Amino acid sequence: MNQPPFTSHQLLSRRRFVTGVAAGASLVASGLMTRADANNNLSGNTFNLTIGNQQVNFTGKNRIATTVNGSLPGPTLRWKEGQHVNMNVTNQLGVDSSIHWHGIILPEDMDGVPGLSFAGIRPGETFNYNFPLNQSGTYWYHSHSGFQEQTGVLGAIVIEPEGGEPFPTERDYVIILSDWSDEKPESIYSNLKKQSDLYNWNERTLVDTWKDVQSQGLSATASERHMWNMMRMSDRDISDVNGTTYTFLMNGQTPADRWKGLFKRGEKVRLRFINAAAMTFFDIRIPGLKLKVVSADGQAIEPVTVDDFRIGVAETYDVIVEPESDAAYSIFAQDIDRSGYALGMLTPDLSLNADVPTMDPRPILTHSDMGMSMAHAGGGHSGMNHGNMAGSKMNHANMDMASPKMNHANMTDPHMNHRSPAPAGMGSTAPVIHKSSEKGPQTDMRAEMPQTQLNNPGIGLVDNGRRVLTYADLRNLYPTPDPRDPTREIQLHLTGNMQRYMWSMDGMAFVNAEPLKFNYGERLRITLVNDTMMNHPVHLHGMWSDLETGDPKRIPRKHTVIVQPGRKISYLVTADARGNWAYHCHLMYHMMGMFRVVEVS
Amino acid sequence: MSINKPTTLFLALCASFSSGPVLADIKMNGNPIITKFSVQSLEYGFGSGANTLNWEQAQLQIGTDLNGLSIRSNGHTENGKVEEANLIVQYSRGISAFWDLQAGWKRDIRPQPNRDSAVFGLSGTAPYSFEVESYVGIGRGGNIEFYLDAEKELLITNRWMLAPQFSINAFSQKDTEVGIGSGVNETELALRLHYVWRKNLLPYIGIAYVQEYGETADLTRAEGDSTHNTQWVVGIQGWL
Repeated sequence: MNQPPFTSHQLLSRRRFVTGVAAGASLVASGLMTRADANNNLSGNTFNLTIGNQQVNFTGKNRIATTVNGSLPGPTLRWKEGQHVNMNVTNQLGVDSSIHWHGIILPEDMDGVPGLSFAGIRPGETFNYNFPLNQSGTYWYHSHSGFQEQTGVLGAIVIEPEGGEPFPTERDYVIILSDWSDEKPESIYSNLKKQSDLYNWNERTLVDTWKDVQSQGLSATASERHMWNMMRMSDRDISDVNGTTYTFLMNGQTPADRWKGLFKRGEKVRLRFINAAAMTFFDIRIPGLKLKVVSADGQAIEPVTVDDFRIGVAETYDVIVEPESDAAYSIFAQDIDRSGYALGMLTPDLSLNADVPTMDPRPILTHSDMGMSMAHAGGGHSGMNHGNMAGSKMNHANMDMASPKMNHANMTDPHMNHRSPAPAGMGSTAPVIHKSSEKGPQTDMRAEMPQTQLNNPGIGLVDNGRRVLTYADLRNLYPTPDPRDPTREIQLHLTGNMQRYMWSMDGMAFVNAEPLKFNYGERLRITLVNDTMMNHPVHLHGMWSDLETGDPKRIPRKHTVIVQPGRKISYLVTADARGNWAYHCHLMYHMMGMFRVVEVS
Repeated sequence: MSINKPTTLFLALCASFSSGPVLADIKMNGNPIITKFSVQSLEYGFGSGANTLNWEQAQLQIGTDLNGLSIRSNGHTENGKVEEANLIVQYSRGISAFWDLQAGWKRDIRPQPNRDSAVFGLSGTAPYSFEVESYVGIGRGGNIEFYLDAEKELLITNRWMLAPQFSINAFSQKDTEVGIGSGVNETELALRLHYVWRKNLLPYIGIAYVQEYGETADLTRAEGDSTHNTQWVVGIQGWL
C-alpha cells in the first residue's frame, strides 16, 4: 500500500501549522484518541471527529470557519474495504450539525441527513456513526446542516481496496478543492435572492455587442441577441457565486500559499481530486503532464488519458501522472467562470516553482445551452457538434440522434412513455415532457429540444485545443454490476428562475413535493432534463447512479452527475437500499429547492 | 413643512427594518423572508428651474420569493420644499417568470390636500430587459390614474452603465386643487450614466427632461411656473 505522502512543506506551511496546533489542542482537550499523522490522515477502526468553530485567515481577514478537528479541510479518513468503521462525531457548534459520507453506500440511519436519516447532532452531543465498507476509492464527507459545508465542514475519505489498487502508484495525494468566502453564507444567499447577478462582473456589454457586429455583421448579431433579449437571460451567467467573493482552496491552501506535493522523477503519482466546493465547478490541468484518469466518483474506470477535465461540485476523479523531468508542475484548477483558480504544485524540490498558467477565456452560453434544437442554435456559435469527437471510443453512442437505437423511435408519439424503456446503457428514448407543474413564476425556461451530449466536455471547454475528459469517456473497469434493463423510467426536470433565484424539480420546490417512490429491488432509469442555463451536479444518496455512457457492458457508477444546461442525461439505479434518501442538486444555494426525498420500499 | 422631514422619516423607517437579512433558520428553507431596501434614484437636480431633490421608487420590501409587502415612495422637493410626494403600501405577488402583480393603497401627500387611491400594479422585466413599473389608481370621485415607468440598463462596460428611463402619468379627471388635469399630465425622459461602484451602489450623473401637457400644463402656467424643465442630476441607485 502507498504510504501517506510526507512533504516537509506541509509541516512548514503556516496555515497547516496553525490548524495542526488547533487540531491537537482540541483533541487533547476532549481527550480523544484518534490517530492523526503529519498530513492530517486518520486511520484505524474508530474515528473521533469534532465539529467546532475555528478562526481562519485566507484573505488577510480573520474569520470563523466551521471545521472538523480544527482544520480546513478536515482530516482525511483512511479506511479499508471490508472494514467496519466507527465514527464518534461530536458537535461543539452552537447549532445542530451532521456529517454525510458522500458516495458511501450505507444504512439509511447512517447517512447523516438531518430530518431524514436522523435527527441531527445537537450542540454538545456526540453521534456514533458505524457501518461496513463494501467499496473502495476516493470519497468525501461534509456537513448536511445549514451552510456548514460552505464554511468548512468537509474532508476526504480514501478507502483502500481489498485486493490492492488496480493502478498502483508510488505516491498518493488527496487534492481537495473548496471555495471560501469571507462573507457569511446567509448573506451570499440573501444577496442572490435580492440580485441574482450580484457576483457577476463579466456581463455582456455594449462593447461585446459592438465586437459581435464587427465580426458577424449587424443582422447576425441582431438575430442572435434577439433570442436572449426575448428570454431576458444573460449568456454570461455561468456561475452564481464566483471568484468575486470566493478564494479557491487546494487542500486548504490559497493560490498564494500554494499547496505542494513532492515526487521523484519517474514515479507514478496518484492525485485524488475531490470537488468539495459549495458552488464551484473546476477545470483542472497540469501543464506538461498527461492526466491518466483511472477512477470517477471512487469507482475504477478504464483509464483514459486527457489534458484537462471538469470536476463538478461533489464529484471525485483519481488521476495518475508520471512526471518525467525534475521540474515543478502547476496543478491548475480554474473555476468554470474563469473568475479565479485554486493552485498547487507537484515538485521534486521545494525550492522550485512552476509557471502559473493563464486562465482560459470566459465561457459564453449559446442557444444550445437553452435546450434549443441545433437547427435554431446559431450555427458556428453552438460549437457543440464537434466536441472531442476524435479519439473517443464512444462516438457511435454519444448523441442520441446518432444512435441507431434512437432512429426508429417516434419522438412525437405521446404513448411512448407507456412503452418499456430503452435497454440499459444507451440512455432514454422517451419523449421529453414538461409537466404542468413546471409552468408558473417559479420557472423561466423550458428546454425545447434537450440533447444528451455525453461527448460535450461542457461550456468553456469545447475546442480549447486540449483533450478534455467527457462523460463519454467513462467506462467501468469492471463489467456492469447490475446488467438488467430498466423496467421503468422517471423523467425529472431541473427547473428554476434565475432572476428570482428559485430552484426546483419539475417546477416544484422540495417543500411542496411528494417523495419519489422507488420499488425495492427494481432497476429503473432516471432521465434528468435541465430546463435551466446552469450546470447542476445531482447527487443521489444511498444508491449508485449508473451513468449510461453507451456501452451496456461497462456502465460506470457515479454518485454525482452533472446535467449540462439545456440538456438531458440518463442513468440507471438499482433500488437496493430501503429507506428515505436525499436526492438533490449539490450546489449549496440551489439544493433547498432542487431537492427530493427518494423513498425505497 | 421642512424639506426633508418625510424623506428622513421614511429613510429612518427603512433603515430600522433593513439592518440585515431576516434568515433566522435557513435549514432547507429555500424560500426565506428577505428584507430589501432599495432606491431606483435618489438625486439632486439643478438646471433651468429650481434646485430639486428627487426620489423615485424608494422602497422597502419584505417578502418571500413570490409574495411580498412593500412601502414605496416617489417625490421631489423644490428649493427645499416638498412639492410632490406619495406613499404606496402594497402587496405583491409573482404571477409569471418576470412579472409581479400588485395591489395596495396610495396616498399623495404633496401637494396638499391628501389624495388617497386604491392602486393595482404590474411590475417586472419586459423583453429586451426593460424594467417596468406601472399601476392603475382609482381615487377620489372615481378619478383613474395611470402610471408607467420603464428603464433599460445598458452596460457599456461592467463598470459603466447607461440607463435611459421614461415615465408617464395620466388621469381620467381634472383635480384642480392638487394641480391634476385630465389626460396625460406629465412625461419624463432621463438618461443616467452610472458608475457600478458596487453591484448594489451605483452613483450616477444624468440629464432629465420633464414635460407637462394639457390641463396640467394650463394649471402650471396659471401659477406662473414652467411646463417643461431640463435638469442635470447627480445621485445614487442602490439597495441594502
